[in-house]
Amino acid sequence: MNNFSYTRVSDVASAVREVAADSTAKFIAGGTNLVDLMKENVARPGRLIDITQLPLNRIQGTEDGGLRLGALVRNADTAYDETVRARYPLLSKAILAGASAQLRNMATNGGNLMQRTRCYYFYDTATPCNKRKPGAGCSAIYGFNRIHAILGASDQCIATHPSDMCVALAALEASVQVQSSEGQRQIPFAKFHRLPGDTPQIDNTLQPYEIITAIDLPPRGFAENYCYLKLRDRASYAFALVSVAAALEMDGDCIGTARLALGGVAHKPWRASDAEEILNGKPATLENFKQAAAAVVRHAKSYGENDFKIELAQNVIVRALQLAVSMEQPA
Amino acid sequence: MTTATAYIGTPVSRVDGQAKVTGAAKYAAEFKAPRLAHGVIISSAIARGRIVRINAAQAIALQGVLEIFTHENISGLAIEDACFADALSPPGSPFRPLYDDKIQYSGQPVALVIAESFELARFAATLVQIEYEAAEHDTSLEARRGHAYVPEKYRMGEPVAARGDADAALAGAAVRIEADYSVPVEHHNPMEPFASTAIWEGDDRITVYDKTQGVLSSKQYICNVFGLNEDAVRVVSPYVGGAFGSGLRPQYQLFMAVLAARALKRPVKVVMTRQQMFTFGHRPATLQRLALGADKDGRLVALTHAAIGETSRFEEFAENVVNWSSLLYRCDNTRLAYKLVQLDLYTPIDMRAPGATLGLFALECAMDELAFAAGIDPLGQRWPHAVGQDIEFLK
Amino acid sequence: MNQSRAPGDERASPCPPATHSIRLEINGTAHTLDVAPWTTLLDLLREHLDLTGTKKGCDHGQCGACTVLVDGRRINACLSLAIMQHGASITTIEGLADGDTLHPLQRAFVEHDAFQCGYCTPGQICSAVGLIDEGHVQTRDDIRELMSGNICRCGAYPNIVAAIEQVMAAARDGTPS
Repeated sequence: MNNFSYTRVSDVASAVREVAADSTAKFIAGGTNLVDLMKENVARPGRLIDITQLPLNRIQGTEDGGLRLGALVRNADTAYDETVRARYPLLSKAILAGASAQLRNMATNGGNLMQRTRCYYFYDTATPCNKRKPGAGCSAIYGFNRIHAILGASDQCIATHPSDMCVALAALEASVQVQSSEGQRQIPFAKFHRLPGDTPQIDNTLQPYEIITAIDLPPRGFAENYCYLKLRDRASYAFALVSVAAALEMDGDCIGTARLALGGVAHKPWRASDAEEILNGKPATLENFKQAAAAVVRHAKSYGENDFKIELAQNVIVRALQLAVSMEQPA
Repeated sequence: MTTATAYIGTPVSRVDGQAKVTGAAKYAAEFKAPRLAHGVIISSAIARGRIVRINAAQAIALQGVLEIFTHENISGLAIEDACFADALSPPGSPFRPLYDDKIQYSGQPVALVIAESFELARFAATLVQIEYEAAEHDTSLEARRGHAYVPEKYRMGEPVAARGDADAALAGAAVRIEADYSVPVEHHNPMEPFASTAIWEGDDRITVYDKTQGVLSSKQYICNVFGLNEDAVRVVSPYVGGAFGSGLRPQYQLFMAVLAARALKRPVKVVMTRQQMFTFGHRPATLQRLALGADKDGRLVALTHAAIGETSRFEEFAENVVNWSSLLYRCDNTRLAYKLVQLDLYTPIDMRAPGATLGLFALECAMDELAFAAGIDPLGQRWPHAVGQDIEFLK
Repeated sequence: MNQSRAPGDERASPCPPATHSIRLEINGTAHTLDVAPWTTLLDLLREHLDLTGTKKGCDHGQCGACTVLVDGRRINACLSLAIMQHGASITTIEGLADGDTLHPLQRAFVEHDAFQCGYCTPGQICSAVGLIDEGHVQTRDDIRELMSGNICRCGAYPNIVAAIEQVMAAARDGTPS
């Protein structure tokens, strides 16, 4: 961990001013990812701006009947919030599937979006990594790539985004509220995280001089039929190999509207629009679920140690859809 | 109640229970001393090859960084290999930390940074620039299985002699199974990382709080390596946060702490990182093949068990993997084999039921497969056979 | 003060870093401390305050041995910068007993033999205190899931769960545990 200077701000205007003034400065809130990366010498900010005192720590309704999640609300508090549990239980389940109770108590909503990949080579500064150093090469493509992407990767980077919360936010079509000295804007969730392409060093579309102030959930929460199913090497406290957020609005035995997003398979939460189109308006049958699942992995590419993810992803999608219909608890 | 019945048959709480649940129990990294300095070990970035150049100028220039020890600047150590051996060293040459520019194995320690604070030492370590010349390395047992060899003299686990004619009996068996079993490297990873706090007391006297399973072994090692008198060295093992076999040999943080304490004449504490807990003795990986043959009633008539285990390039570690198959179940036709492969990893060490964990796992899985193939109850299949043969090898 | 620069880096901060004065309440005692920004809460406790009850198992938030309570919530001290805790009230394992009287969880851990080597134990107990306060446990499986952030290599898990269950049951029944 390098030596850095520290300052604390108490309003958003100061925060964006400080971060714009110093290109080596980073915001710190929960610190659960940033401090980890600093200890590994992957992140080396010259200055940390403590934003924990900013007034962004409330959950409140929005004008259109949705819900605004303050960027500084802790993940645990978001997951256990009465309104979130009642109206957006998919989000609550997804958050509780991630990390540990201690980490969920520390981590913030904004930080969850900003967290970086857990690719082993990204974390190991002794190995080449295009995300850390563009042009250095990707050690994962011909290395140990069990946890790596099968969708949307490039020949420069096959890392995955590790968040569970973000998979649910993708399925729910959240939007990210950001602010800078120039004003406010909102980023549709699907456009917040990027695919690696030729610039794997850039994870998302947030500009260096911007701060996330909130995550807005639209009115539709899919609270009647949903499932967050996470498959991993341990029963708890591990990142997803493959996870699925399935959310349905049922119309009798037919699916009115389907939302489907995957984690553990790509550089960003993978919204499976092709599969949703197959499901919308169709009977909720095993055959249709399988067809949708096949569509998701049609262009999947694996790299040796993660070949199993292509079949696993289809199985998890089918099971998640079944559970979303039946609303039984997963075994 | 007499003394004779006071404890027998009565549940008794651990005598150290109070200390552990209140945080009062102190482990090796938890002892204070005036002017205690902190050490951080730098691990090699390559698995095999050599160090071309070390540039520690930026690191040593930091205020509060006391010294950076490398193979280029340490001195005052024993000259002979044998001095670096410990009570459990397998045959071969013991590893000598910071000895020369050679990188012998993945995770080898290559430098030690000492500073006034842990954070400063950790930061200074990132400023040490090390240039390597990497060589091809072999760390996969599977990839190297073609290079398996029979040790001239087994440290342990020499396969007992064959009985009868296993191949013929297998060929004539009514039921036959053959299966391959592989177990990867397993690391002990106790919750407490390896740590040593070496308190220099002047006049070559030193007290070391060491995480170890053998204080006498650690003490002997220090005396031999650093040329210290036995009555001037005290090694104290306070509470140990798990070891499971990994503490049976001194680990390299002990060397580092004593090296620095002696050179700087100050107390020094060195704690391994969790990543470094994967860089020393471990349960070796194995590849095993079992073939079992049974008659129509499920009685074992033939058994062959061959295992390949892992060792380092500089010490030959062998353990008893296959002999359990000759011991446990009555079988008149057996053949056992055990070979080793050298890898660019540190020498394996005992870990909870060394050897047996591996061999018995494979044997019992194979027995289940055989019972299934023969269509009989797996337990019922075993009882008639359970007997001890070839017990001689245990003597 | 020395500047420290690696090639290509721009770090204008001095090294060793300048300290900041912070106030913390730890186990009921107020402290005013000078801390460098890069000191974690864990290292502050263990290295600067001789409160070695809280343990360092991984230093990366992956084992839970460093669990303490900050303003009543369980967190991993290894990923918390001490400087950011200015003004907080912290409870460590050393602060759970009331003089000579063990906390019910400490007593239950001893009774149920919920440890062997003891290194994960302070983190387990502090985490369990937080768990019970959070109030989300309905079943034994909930205990296991919500305690999954605390690893025990000696494998004392069944006894840890039993100890926690005992304390929760006693609290429910209003009996002394």
